[in-house]
Amino acid sequence: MSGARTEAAAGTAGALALTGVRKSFGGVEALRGANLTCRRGEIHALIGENGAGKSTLVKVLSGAIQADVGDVELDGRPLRVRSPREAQAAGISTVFQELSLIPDLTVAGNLFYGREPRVRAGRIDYRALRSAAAEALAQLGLGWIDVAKTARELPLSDRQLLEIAKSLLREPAVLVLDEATSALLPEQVDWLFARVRAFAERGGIALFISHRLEEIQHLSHRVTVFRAGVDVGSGPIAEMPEARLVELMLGRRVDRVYPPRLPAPEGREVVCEVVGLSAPPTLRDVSLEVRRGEVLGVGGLQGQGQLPLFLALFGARRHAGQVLLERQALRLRKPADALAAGIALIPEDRTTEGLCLALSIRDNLTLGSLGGISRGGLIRPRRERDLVDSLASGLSINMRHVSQEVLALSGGNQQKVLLGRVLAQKPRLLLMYDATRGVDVGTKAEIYRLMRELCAEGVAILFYSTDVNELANLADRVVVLHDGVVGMHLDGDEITESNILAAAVGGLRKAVS
Amino acid sequence: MIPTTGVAIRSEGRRRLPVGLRLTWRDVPLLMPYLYVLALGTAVFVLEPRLIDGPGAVDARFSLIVPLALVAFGQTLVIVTRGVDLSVGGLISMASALLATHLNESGPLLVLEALAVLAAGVVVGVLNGLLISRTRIQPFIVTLATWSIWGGVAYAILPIEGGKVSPGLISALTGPLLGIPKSVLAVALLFLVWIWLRPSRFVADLIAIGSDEDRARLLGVRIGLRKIEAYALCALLASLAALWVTAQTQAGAPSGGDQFILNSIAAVVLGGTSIFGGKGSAASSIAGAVAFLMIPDLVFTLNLTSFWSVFFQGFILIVAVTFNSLVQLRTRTA
Repeated sequence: MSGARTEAAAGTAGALALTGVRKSFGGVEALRGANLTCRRGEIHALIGENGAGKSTLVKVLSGAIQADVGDVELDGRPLRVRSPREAQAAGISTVFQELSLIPDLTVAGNLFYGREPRVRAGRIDYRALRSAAAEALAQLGLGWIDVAKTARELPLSDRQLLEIAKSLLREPAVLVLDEATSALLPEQVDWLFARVRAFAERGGIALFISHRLEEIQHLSHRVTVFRAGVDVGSGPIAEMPEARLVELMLGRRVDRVYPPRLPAPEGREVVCEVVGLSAPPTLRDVSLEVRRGEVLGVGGLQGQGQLPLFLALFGARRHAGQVLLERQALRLRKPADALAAGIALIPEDRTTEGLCLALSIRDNLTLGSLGGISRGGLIRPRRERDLVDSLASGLSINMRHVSQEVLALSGGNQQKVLLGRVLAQKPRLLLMYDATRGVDVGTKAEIYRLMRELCAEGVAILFYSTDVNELANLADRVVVLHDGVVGMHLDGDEITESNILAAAVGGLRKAVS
Repeated sequence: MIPTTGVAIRSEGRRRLPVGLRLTWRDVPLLMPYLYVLALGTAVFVLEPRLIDGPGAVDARFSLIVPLALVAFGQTLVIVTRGVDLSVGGLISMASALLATHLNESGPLLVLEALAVLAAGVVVGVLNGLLISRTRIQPFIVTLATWSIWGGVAYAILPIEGGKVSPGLISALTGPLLGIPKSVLAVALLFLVWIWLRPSRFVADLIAIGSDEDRARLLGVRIGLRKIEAYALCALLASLAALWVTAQTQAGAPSGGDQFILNSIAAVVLGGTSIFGGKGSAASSIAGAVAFLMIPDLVFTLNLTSFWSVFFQGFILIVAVTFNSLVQLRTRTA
């Protein structure tokens, strides 16, 4: 099988066309008039930063959600898909990022679910199903996957291969691969590429969404770049060098108010030292140090090991490697260990992991530090009131009364309550995992200010954000994770959006060294 | 460059036996109940052979097993979808009360009346299924409420134990057929029904729903319909159990169904079906029911008071659940 690009494909008319697609979620526009045109026999790459609208577009195409406005055409016919079932019937097959295999069904059952080879009187011939599945997998070069195993028993990479195989076996007109390589080993990526090329040579349309620029350069014929819900550039891959792609992905942006950085943290004492931390499968080997009073930014594409890193440091994830806090080795086996050592976490999802929504602002604020305000197991009202008052005024939470339910607050105010609870715990190391996501600009500025105040008090902050702009302007130093290791370390002037992004996609080398 | 065979992209290598000769850890919980039956049966036989090979002993044992096996069968279908049906208790009581008050002596009318009771059971099950799939209220809550409702209706029909059971019904469901006790035939028939039903699209859909409802929806499984079918079947089987119990005891009992709620769940759990859905076997649940009902026999042979039955039933349950849970932890990959 040759990897040569089929330029013949360029001659045929646009076979899949999306025009003016809009979609908003609760007032936030994820797609703002997006266009995409793919031809038959073409491998079309779709790239953009996190939140640029790629995944929303994929969901529209696969029937998981419906666009508010916009047209989809396949081979000149208008297409309106209202469910995944309809999309599949129309010849669009999607390899979802979150895999769609049923965990307790066997490989064979998953591969042909709803299309089993022999069904009589509502009963499936499992023997025929197993041999058909084994044969189909063998033809795809996956003959070693045991068809009698349940999906649950397979390693993640095999599940992803199976998901891809399932889509290929439907022989669709359009094959959508949403981050389909994220869990694959290098040889498996080669396998996938060979399959996708063969699929395109047969006249199929492959839509390939990936964060990895090398893969896109290697595989695709054309590329479309998304930014902030619209397509900002499209063309043959040969005319789109990496630098141009990065530039398109970044674009120009509204500047935000960032507090000035504190004097350079050089020579300051190390508060937390992480040595060789790993938590399979994504976090492989991370070593870093966080100094007193600094914000250490953690960047990288989603799923490069950031979440396991933060969870491991908070004792919420099994890990290997060493964590030293002020030169003391810690055993972090449960969150209580981390809290006792002075490590606090602002989690990704404040509503399910951070706050007790049905409790009052007061209860949420004091929940982490009840020991400090009680005696003999009973809360002392005066101390509680003092603590709550000082926290609430320091955070300027917009509320009627501290007895109000947290549920009724806006996202930004909820985040402030969570921040307040963590502040009351007086951490030495504060872990912030995408703490500004879904928070309005005003509250963001306040959170930044608070972070600086904490730094001035000597707290060390490990700060992960999916917002590159924020990382570039807030962090004193940045480590960029790639494939579960620290791919790049940026300091001082090196901390620019384009350097972070380039390091994240692993395409460019350090600009300043 | 590009591999043409699969060998190069294999992420892990292990030799394997052909399908059918393999026993994976996953299957072990579903096979354990047969081991329990064997162990308990041997113990009882060694200590008191008359309980197994005495005159009428087999029929007596199996007559007790039949209704629990029926309810456990239905309960398995529901539990596989990650639900539970507590209303079987109220339903059996209600059906039993109806049978002890509204049945003819014999003849074609008796058959019609018995069928009407079964049909009422199906309606009750459909109601459960509708409530659960339309309102998305927890099955536990829905069936807790309907258990209470039908239990109340049972008392309205037959305030105290007794009534008059049709001799036709009694003779139809007791004694031997072709020299084999009908109770043994009934249990055997249930096993066969499961063997027939196991590879059906219906069961595959129930497993998909219990395993991951959102993904099952992505696959196009008609979730509402399947749940209604599962609860309806469960209720039908519970009504059959009521028929059997009423014929055996020759009396109606307005609270006689309640014991079947927890006993059926216990039988299902002993059988190795996961209460988290996605995995189960009605045949194993029947074996679980057999094992569960052997414990009173064992307690009897040991000359202990009946209090110890409940004690040992709880004990074996916790041992089985602990074992299954450990197996589950072992088979779950990261």
